Amino acid sequence: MRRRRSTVTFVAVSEASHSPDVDLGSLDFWGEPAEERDRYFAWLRREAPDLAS
Amino acid sequence: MRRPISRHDPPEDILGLPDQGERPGYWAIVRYDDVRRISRDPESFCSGEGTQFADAPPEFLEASLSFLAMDAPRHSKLRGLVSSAFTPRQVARIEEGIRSNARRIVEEAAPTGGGDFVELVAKRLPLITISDMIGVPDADRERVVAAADLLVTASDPEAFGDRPPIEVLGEALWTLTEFATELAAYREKNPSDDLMSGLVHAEIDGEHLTHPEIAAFFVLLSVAGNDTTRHTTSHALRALSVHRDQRALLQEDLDGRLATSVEEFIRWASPVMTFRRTTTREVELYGETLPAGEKVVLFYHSANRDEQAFEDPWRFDITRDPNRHVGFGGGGPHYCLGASLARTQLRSIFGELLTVIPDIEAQEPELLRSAFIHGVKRMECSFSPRA
Repeated sequence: MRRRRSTVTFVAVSEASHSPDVDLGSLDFWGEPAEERDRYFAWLRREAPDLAS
Repeated sequence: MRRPISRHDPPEDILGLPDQGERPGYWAIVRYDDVRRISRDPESFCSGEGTQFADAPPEFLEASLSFLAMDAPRHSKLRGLVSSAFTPRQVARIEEGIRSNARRIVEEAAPTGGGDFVELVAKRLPLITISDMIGVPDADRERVVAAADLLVTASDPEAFGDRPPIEVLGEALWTLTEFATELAAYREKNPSDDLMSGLVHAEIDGEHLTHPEIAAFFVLLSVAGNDTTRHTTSHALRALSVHRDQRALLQEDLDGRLATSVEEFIRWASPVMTFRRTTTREVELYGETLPAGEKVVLFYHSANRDEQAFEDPWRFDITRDPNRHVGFGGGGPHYCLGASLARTQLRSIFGELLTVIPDIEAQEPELLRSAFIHGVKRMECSFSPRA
């Protein structure tokens, strides 16, 4: 099985103007507490950058 | 450039699939309006190319998703075979039976004083309801639900232990398929008034469904019928335990506030977190041109917290009205078939819980690691025991 590691670092939603270091497709992300995932989605709803490499 | 859709690298391969070459990325749809718009445009965003966020072998999808991963006209015909059993009118006919089962479940839990809420209460009503509807004999129900559970928990390490996830998944699917085929054969000779009897005798364009088609139907109904209501029940009890003002408000007028509460339970829980669509043609979204064949993932949980669609979306508010959440999907042909059934079960179980054991409290839930189901694996609860 291939596993990816991602470092999840968040800033407050109101402050986030740059991309949090998060991979939405990684299992690590889905193992994070719901509040942290929610914060990331709030950021995505507002900023929605191109995150594909 | 800022726009409310974003493109991401492909999701992690949780099953350890053989090398598939270059895998395409996907577009994340996280806003409420966009989830609804895409859900209601099956001409541009199809389901027939797959509906799961994570990749899986095609034969697995074929054996488990049935009409979920189909488009019109086949989708409409297959869904039509069972849809009459799930209409609000038909669900109203079986509501008294559902209430009676909810009463029994809560009365059996009442003397214990607590335990794992999932096992004690949340899991039981959907299991009984969908098993009764399909016609699964009592003796086989636990086995069926355990296998159905595995199909949506394969991304959680607890589900597969030291074994390869794909092996565990295959075994679960085999258990369900084999069981469904046996049940179908029995119902061919011994018809009853359950869904399985209806399926084995149904015809589409003059032809009966094949056994693999019936088995896939069975797998879909078993998974969808069990998981979503169970997890919403657990998330809702946790929310009522944390937001005591809302609980007090509900208990003050249980009959009057239960219906709006249930809608908030579903929005809050968002038990299904993702489904995927694929563009069938070039589509423009916010000035971005998506070519045909692009994967588009709908994030329902995010849509249900969209600040532009819900006033103060982070507030758990049992009086929220209107509450046009996308907990059952964003509308369109794939809107949840079991929405009325789920609502009825949630009203029934919380009506009983908050009457018979009104001081029930839930601890922090242990969550499933999944990008698909917002699942609760275990959640301790406690209350004053009642005889």
